[in-house]
Amino acid sequence: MPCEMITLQLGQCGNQIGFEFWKRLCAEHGINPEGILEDFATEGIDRKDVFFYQADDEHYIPRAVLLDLEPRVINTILNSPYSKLYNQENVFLSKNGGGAGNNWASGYSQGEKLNEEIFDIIDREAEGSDSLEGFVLCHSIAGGTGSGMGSNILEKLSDRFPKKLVQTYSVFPNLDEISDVVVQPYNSLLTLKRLTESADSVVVLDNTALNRIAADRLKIQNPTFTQINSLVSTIMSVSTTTLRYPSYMNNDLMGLLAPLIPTPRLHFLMTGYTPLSTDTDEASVRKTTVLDVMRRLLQPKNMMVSTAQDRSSEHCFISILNIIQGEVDPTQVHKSLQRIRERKLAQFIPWGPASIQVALSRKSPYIQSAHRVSGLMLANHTNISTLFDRALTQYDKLRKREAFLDQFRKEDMFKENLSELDSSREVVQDLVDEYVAATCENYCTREQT
Amino acid sequence: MSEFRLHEIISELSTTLGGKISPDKLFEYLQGVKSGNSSGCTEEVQEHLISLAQDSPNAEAFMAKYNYFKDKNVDSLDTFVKLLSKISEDHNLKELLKKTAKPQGASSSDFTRDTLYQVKSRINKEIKKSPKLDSSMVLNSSTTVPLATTPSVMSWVQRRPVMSWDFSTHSISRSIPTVPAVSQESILIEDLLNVLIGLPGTYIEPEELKDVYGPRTFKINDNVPVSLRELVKQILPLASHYSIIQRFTEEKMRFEFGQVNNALAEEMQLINKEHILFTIQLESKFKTEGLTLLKVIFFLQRNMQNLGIAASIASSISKSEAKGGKVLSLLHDSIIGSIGDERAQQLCLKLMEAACIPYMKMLEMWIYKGIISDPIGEFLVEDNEVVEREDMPEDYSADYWEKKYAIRRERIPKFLEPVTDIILKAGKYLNVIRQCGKPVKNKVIPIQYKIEEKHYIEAINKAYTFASQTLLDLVLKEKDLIGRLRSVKHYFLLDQGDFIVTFLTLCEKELSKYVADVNQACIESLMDLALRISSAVNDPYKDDLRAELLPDDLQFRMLRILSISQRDVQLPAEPKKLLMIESFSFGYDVHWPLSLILNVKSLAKYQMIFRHLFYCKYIERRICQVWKSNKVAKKFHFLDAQHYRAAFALRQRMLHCVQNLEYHMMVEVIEPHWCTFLQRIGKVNNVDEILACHTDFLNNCLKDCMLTIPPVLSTIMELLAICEDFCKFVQRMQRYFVEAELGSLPNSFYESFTQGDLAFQGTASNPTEPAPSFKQKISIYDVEFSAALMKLLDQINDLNRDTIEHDRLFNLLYRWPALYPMSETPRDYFSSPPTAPSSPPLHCR
Repeated sequence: MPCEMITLQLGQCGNQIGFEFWKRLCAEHGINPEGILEDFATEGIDRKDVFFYQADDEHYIPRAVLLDLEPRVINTILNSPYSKLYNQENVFLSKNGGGAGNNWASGYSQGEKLNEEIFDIIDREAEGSDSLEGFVLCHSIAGGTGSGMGSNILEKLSDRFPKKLVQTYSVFPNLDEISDVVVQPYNSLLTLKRLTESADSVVVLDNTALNRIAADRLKIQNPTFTQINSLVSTIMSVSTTTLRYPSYMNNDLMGLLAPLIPTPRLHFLMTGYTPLSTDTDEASVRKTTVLDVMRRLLQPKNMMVSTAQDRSSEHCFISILNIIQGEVDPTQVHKSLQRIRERKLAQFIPWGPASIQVALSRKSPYIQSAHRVSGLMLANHTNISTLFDRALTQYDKLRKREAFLDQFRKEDMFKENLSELDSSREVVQDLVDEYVAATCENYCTREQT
Repeated sequence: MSEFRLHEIISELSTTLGGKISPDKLFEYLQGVKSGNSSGCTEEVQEHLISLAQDSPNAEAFMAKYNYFKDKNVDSLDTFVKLLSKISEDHNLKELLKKTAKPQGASSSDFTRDTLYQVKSRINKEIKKSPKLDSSMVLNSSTTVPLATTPSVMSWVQRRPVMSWDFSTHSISRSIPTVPAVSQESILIEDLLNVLIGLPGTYIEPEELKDVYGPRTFKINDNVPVSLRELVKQILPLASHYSIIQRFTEEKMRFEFGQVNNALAEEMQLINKEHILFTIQLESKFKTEGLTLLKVIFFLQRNMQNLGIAASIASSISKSEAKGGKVLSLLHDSIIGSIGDERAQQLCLKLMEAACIPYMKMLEMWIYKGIISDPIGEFLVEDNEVVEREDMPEDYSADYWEKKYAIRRERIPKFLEPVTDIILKAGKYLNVIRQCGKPVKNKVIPIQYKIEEKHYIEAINKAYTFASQTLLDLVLKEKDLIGRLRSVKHYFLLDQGDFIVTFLTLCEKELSKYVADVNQACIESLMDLALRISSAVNDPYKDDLRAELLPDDLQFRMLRILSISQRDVQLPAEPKKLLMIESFSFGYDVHWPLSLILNVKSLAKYQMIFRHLFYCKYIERRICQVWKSNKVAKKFHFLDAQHYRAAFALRQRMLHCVQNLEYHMMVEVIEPHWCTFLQRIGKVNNVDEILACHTDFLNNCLKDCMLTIPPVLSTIMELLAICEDFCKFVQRMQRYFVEAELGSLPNSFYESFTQGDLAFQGTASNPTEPAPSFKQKISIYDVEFSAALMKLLDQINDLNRDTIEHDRLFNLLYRWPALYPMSETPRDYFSSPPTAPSSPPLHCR
């Protein structure tokens, strides 16, 4: 089948959100934890084969590769009811099992060493699909395995599969609380360079914002990882819904991403989802209309990225895609867009098409939702540069003191000098600059020297 | 004629005449006039007649002609008279008619050798065709008995006129003795009794007929005294009636006058027989008891009346050369006319009932079985035999539905007029059912003529309901029409996008080649593959999809179609060498009886929409490909990457434009129209309504996808062509700028980005002339694109806002102005937002 996606989940965080993602996909397609199609789901018009393939005995296997340098999370997965779902050959655990110790350099060099084994798995998966559209990578950028080994794999992927798309779901660390990982700023910066240069689209999942949303919207104080991850899995599943439930438009990842990312470097996307409710929370059901949903999606507090909310700043949307699910009348969509335009609820870049794209999508018939209409926003906003700016500031603070660099110096990459850190800083700085430049009218014509 | 068809004709007429009144209004007006007219106000007609007669230079000839036609019971004579008088009142029109009448006469004499040759070749062609036709006619005699081709048999009466029961005009010269006055009366009675049964008398002699169907006159011997002569004269009309009836029966007994006439003639003969019997009784009474002329007159009163009525009916039928349905109409008229006179009405009714039997049998055969058994051409429905199913020409189904069975206006009996359409449909539906190989099990209620209409109308209605319901069930349930249409929608209206994405991916290379360089079998197999690996695999009808290569591109075809109805459309010159993408379309095999609905015409419409959508998808994909190959630019150095921003931004605008166009056509046009269509089809009562709904659906889609507005269509095509050009250019350049910026990239990386683009090398510009720089070229594309887009928006804006016809299109005006960010501020096309037409929810599949 065409347009297949291979999911790579890396490290503790990556495997956790991946696990939640597969759980959700199984539920939506009516596949039970053993990979067998439920009786009620046999007459589906959905496309399970984007993310699954069928074994000889017809049971469904996810196109997923599970990678980690320490066994803890993967073992949890393998002890869960879903253990039989995955192809055991696709689960890769480092033999020494020591992990990367939250060190980017360690993760990166281990990834380099395990390169062949890992790409044996990936190549096998890629060859097993008819026309592979791309890869989805789930990881966090702060730790060791997800960021270090993830960076390594990203580089290799774009070399080996230059014509395939690489999309990442990258979890950014919570900046509100002091992290136990002291080298987090180094890890983030080094990973950001790879995300900029080797990934085609990065969906930014900001832990700060996720926690805030859990607290404000879902009224959960101190949310657990599982609760946060189910939020993430919602985002991941809805953003792929037009691929899995084919309709008139947006049936491949390329068609979905191309209008969002006008220039290749500006490919960091924010997401928003509404209405949000937890399984136990029935009271929060409201009347939803297309306009409500679209308007709420534009509110910064619903964004899964926490950026400095400065209304007076020049920051603006580069592009917006709203995926609307439910009973929708196209006329309502049209009216809502009109309303949003009249009220100037969304500020767009001055040099590009200034309108919200809408994709109407079907929902899984097997999951009951209390809401009539729900919507996911994928947005490219110049505001995201403030996130990178913060990362730069933190890095600079650390770097000025030359703190915690010993661990890095142990690895080959940094043995001789720290030029890798400098070049990464340069790349990220350029990225921030480009985002800022994109807010100006002369972005396309200006020649900076 | 169905209302729908009438509508079409009127609108066609008004457009050709260049009338400014909307066809709907005209239609309403005509409907009103029609219902007013049907009463046939005779006084009004008389008035018109008089005024016409005054105007005309030859008044007597005109009146004579009028009376002649009136005798013949010519249809719609009164309305024609009205028209004539209207014309004569209007001087301008008269002048115009005079003018046009002349050149026509001249042109007919303009007969050159060339045309003669053409005619000859055409005749030859026809002759070649005809034997084939004959053989197929014999093979397919299942529904109709072949028309008798034997020459009309001369009746024995004509061969031996003396054997007729009518008067013979052979005068036998006899010496007429003078009779004493006393016995004059009884001799005259004896003579009279002979005359009454068609035998020549001695003193009363039949005269030669002036008119074959006219009354007979007699010559009474001059010697008969005046008093007796007057009495005889009172009786003689009866002899004349007898003569008329006798002539009528003897003539109409012949088979070529049709079963209705045969049956009527038989009934008439009975009347004459009765009359003869009565006369014989009278004679025996005369022989035994003796009679006076006055008594004879008294006894004959009743016969006089009966025969008079029968004779007048007979002569009016004969004069108007009526056959079949028209005979029944005339009879019906006389029944209605004799209301109040019970005896006369009884007689008429008797005649009618007899005459109706064969006709009603035909009707029963037709509405219960769908068979026409009408060798003489009397029945109101006619099998045209235009096409035979076995020949299976492409558009058989469309022709079948519209042309195979036709109503012959002049054959409709008046009392069946209101149910004509129903009769036609009932039999037509049954025929379709039979052609599917289904037996028709219908409850047969014998149909008889009754003066109270209810009975037969009810029976016909029942038969119709049965037929339409059976066919509807057959089409909707057994043949799964909706499922079929869904399947067609998947492929032609692209509602399962993954199939088309797969197909586009598989045929990418083939689509940009010239048609001549592509193997159709290859496309077919790729299409099969795409069907099997996309979600279309769940479609039970997927095997009916075919690939087709059409000889002209969409724009050309649309213009050609539109140029038929609108004169101002200019046809482009001969189509150029076609690319695969321009020529490609899907085809779909539809089987009987669904081919009635998915006929060639509607499939052609589907194809037009498909080709447009497909081309948009193709362009969208091209732009996306450019986007994908451009992603390498993120590895460029920050400062160098700036040079490409303009190109990227333009690409973004193009993508936006194409995606918005697609969104408009698919989400805002096709899907809502489809939902409306589904709702309407849930309520239909017969297959004709399905057909009408479906046609409406397709026409609305065509209109709202802007395919039917030639200037808009050509601008859209221009816009898409600019996008395609741009894509080609960027892909061609890619190789150079990747090399320039990333010369040090690993080989594998470099090749994978360039190998796909080598195909465009051939079209690279001439190296000797200085090519414009990348930047210049991009800005040229930018200007072209903006101009085309501007033009399109202006064109849409200029469409007539008064009608609701283009409402949906204006939605686009909202989406697209967002596409010019730089040079121009978006125009404000609306001072106040219009209310978009409301449409049903999207997800009602």
